[in-house]
Amino acid sequence: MAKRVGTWWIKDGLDERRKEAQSFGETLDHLSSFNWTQDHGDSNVLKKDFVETAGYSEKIDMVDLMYMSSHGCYNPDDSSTWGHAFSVSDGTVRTSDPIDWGKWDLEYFSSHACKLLYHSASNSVGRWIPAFERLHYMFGFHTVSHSGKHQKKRGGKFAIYAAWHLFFPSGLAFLPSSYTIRKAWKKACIETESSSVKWAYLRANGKTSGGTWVNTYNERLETTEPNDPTNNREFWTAKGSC
Amino acid sequence: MTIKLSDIDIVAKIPELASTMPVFEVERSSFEERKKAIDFFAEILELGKTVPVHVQNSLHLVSKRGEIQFYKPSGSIWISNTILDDKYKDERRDWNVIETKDPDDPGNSKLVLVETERKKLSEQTKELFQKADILTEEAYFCDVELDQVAQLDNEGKQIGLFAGEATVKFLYKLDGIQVDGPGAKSYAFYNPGMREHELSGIFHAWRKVVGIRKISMPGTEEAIQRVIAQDRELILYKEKQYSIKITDINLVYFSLPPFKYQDYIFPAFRIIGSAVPKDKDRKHEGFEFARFYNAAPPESYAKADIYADYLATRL
Repeated sequence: MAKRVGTWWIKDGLDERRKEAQSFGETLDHLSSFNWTQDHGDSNVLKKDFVETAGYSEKIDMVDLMYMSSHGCYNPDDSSTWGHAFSVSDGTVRTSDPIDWGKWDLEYFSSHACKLLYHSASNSVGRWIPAFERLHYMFGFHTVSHSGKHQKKRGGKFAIYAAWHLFFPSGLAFLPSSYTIRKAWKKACIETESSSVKWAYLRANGKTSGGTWVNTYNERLETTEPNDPTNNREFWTAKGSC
Repeated sequence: MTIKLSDIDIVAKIPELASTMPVFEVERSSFEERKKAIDFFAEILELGKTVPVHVQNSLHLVSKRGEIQFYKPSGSIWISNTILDDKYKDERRDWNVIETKDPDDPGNSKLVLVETERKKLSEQTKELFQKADILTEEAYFCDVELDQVAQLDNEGKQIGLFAGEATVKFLYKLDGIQVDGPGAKSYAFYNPGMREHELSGIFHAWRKVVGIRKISMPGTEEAIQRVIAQDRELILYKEKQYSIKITDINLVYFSLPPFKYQDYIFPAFRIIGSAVPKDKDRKHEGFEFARFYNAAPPESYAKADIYADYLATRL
């Protein structure tokens, strides 16, 4: 079965935000092993698609990987609030909400929301750990990120570097090396951002329910379902210069 | 609905605009001009046999160990060995470091290389960039930055702070002003080594300067008023009764991403600000924004017979 891809975007007056998210879905959709099945914009970006809602199937968990363009929500003057929420059309999705990403499918969450993955010893990005059901990675920014004409390609760049090796026909005598998914995010951010901005990610290692150890550090995007880190987990976060 | 400067709380220091400013004519480097650097780094990174692959605006030379990406619109290059990291089981790298306050984030600490190591890496990189013929007079050494890595327990508490891959950063200035944007940086990425540190990749984005033109500039207030008035998001949030604040304004020269064509490097504002609901009960639902804006209007360029789409549209 093909892997499924989702995109969510809120323009807020800047159409480039739509293009940034949709370029992620569109790029992967060119591969026969991926289907871009969810695309929701503006008023259709709903909290219930990210947060556990009784009697409802959250759309974020109907895909394997997704990209989102919306604001990080916080009090800019209070660093203890940074990275605790992002905007949706009908409110905000907060770390305090019941979130179980990967309950069915989701492995990779990515967003350009400012400071969503801000990390300090006193305001740890570990606030997002309760959202990790079978999730492997969250990709985002430690600082603010820019929105504009020259960031609209970021989603597509991330997708093409993450799936780089999958664009080559299998069975060739010569197969190129591939980028790890974390390096694909770093490269896409360096190509599209100011050097003062910092990319970031949060990832999980752990055992599968069958007891197999899953180390996501050098994980590459594959067409098959990966083993999921669900038990005895450890979490790692990293940030660096764009 | 429009938005005026008086609608915005500006707490940033506003940079002064001179009455005229240079605009720099730039050219992309051809593949042939970059061949020396490509061959030089491909050998150091032990990429071995490569095969050409054309993707969008780039030529990729791919190998079983990594790749060379030549960005045709700018002549920029990304060269990396993508399998070197496979020998590590996590982000940690064994550098000689000290913990210090992060100047960009006073509530946070960060790990930095000890001075001797920092100097060694900066000199190693400068020498490599000079041998590859990619370091021009506009470049300057900015810093060596270590990826900051933390291990967290199941409750999210930080249980260890570590150093990751090192990035040696060279950035660019023109006429004493920072060139910002994704197309003005030269980076080298390293893992620690026993005798020499191990280069894992480079990114060089810069278009060569071939001429200087002059344009007349508006007054500072007029220039900022013009860009704010055209910002659709700020207009939207003014309508929604948000308080809009500008917290940082920098005058920079702007360099487009390496995958875009660019003939002129031009003055721009980098503005960071916030929008927060006036209703105090909703104070946690504000957001920040970061944007580049053209500092000069299209009319200034037209008077100097300078035309390009990115000089007349949003950035």
